[in-house]
Amino acid sequence: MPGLQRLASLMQGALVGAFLLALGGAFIPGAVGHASGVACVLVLIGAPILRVSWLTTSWARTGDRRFATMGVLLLLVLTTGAVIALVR
Amino acid sequence: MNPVQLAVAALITAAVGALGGLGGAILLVPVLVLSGLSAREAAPLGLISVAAGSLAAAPHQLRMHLVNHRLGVSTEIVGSAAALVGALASGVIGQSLLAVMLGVVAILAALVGAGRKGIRNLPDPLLTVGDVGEHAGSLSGVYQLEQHEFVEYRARRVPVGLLGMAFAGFVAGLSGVSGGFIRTPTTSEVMHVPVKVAAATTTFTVGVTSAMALLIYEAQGRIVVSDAALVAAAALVGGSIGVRLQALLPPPRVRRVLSVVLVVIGVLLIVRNR
Repeated sequence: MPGLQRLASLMQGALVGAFLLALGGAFIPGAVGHASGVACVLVLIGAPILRVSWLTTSWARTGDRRFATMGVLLLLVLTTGAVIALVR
Repeated sequence: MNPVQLAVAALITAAVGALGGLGGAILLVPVLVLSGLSAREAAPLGLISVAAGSLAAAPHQLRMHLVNHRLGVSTEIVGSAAALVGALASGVIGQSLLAVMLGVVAILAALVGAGRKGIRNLPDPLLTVGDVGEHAGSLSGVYQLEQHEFVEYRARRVPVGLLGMAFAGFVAGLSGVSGGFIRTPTTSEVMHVPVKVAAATTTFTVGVTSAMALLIYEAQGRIVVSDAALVAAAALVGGSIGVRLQALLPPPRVRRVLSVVLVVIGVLLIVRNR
């Protein structure tokens, strides 16, 4: 399953990036450190959403329509949740 | 709690969370609250720990084909939707009563897991390393038990399992923890998915749940960036350690470790909220 290996490499990149940004956020003072910390949080939020999107696309490409639909449904639930929470 | 203590707590809880597929929040949040932080301040840090632990575990678990993504995505739809309902309903149920309920559930899950002996899914000599992974179009797959032992599994009692995920999502929405301590035993003991696959799949799904919650906390300005960055750095290291420990330990031992941790969590929750 070479596709999952690509996803693993992508997650490895996000992991290294998040770690470096986290170190910056924890130890660099001032605006640069703050920006680094915020970027780290955004990577932590974005990585699982990217993973679900990647899987959904991959399942759709390989004809696994049932689970591609599940992936789309999950992304819809997540989007709905975020919108409801932000509006409230 | 000083920064060094915060980093050590985040590292240890993320490691245990990744090892047992619990998510670190259920361990880190009580520790932070006991150290004097308010639950409102502790919850975002707990979720940072869960998200970081999930990301730290991802590369290794993906390369080992441990996660059943189809199972994770299917159950997470129910879990996330129930978490939304739980979040909207929070305030109706008292937080102390909820915490005691969570404690009882954790202890029951521990007893169910500890009461089972041996390995439910036995190795199939016809399977090879080429078969490892999840099967397209179904909630089944093959995982590697030992170097030359491969086990086929299929998720069973899916409707009951989905009810468990809905309950986990609901309490996660109510309480602000990830619900991994309910999801992993549900996947393993109700759906008969091998404990390592169950733990890895839960580690994936709690990352998704925490991402949505963190987006909300970030928009509400509830994340203290310097503390969050410190917790993230430590939890990324802890998660990497936990997932490697999980690979080294045999499933019955993982189940025993999981049971002990669940009992500790359950007792902590009940004692703190009597």
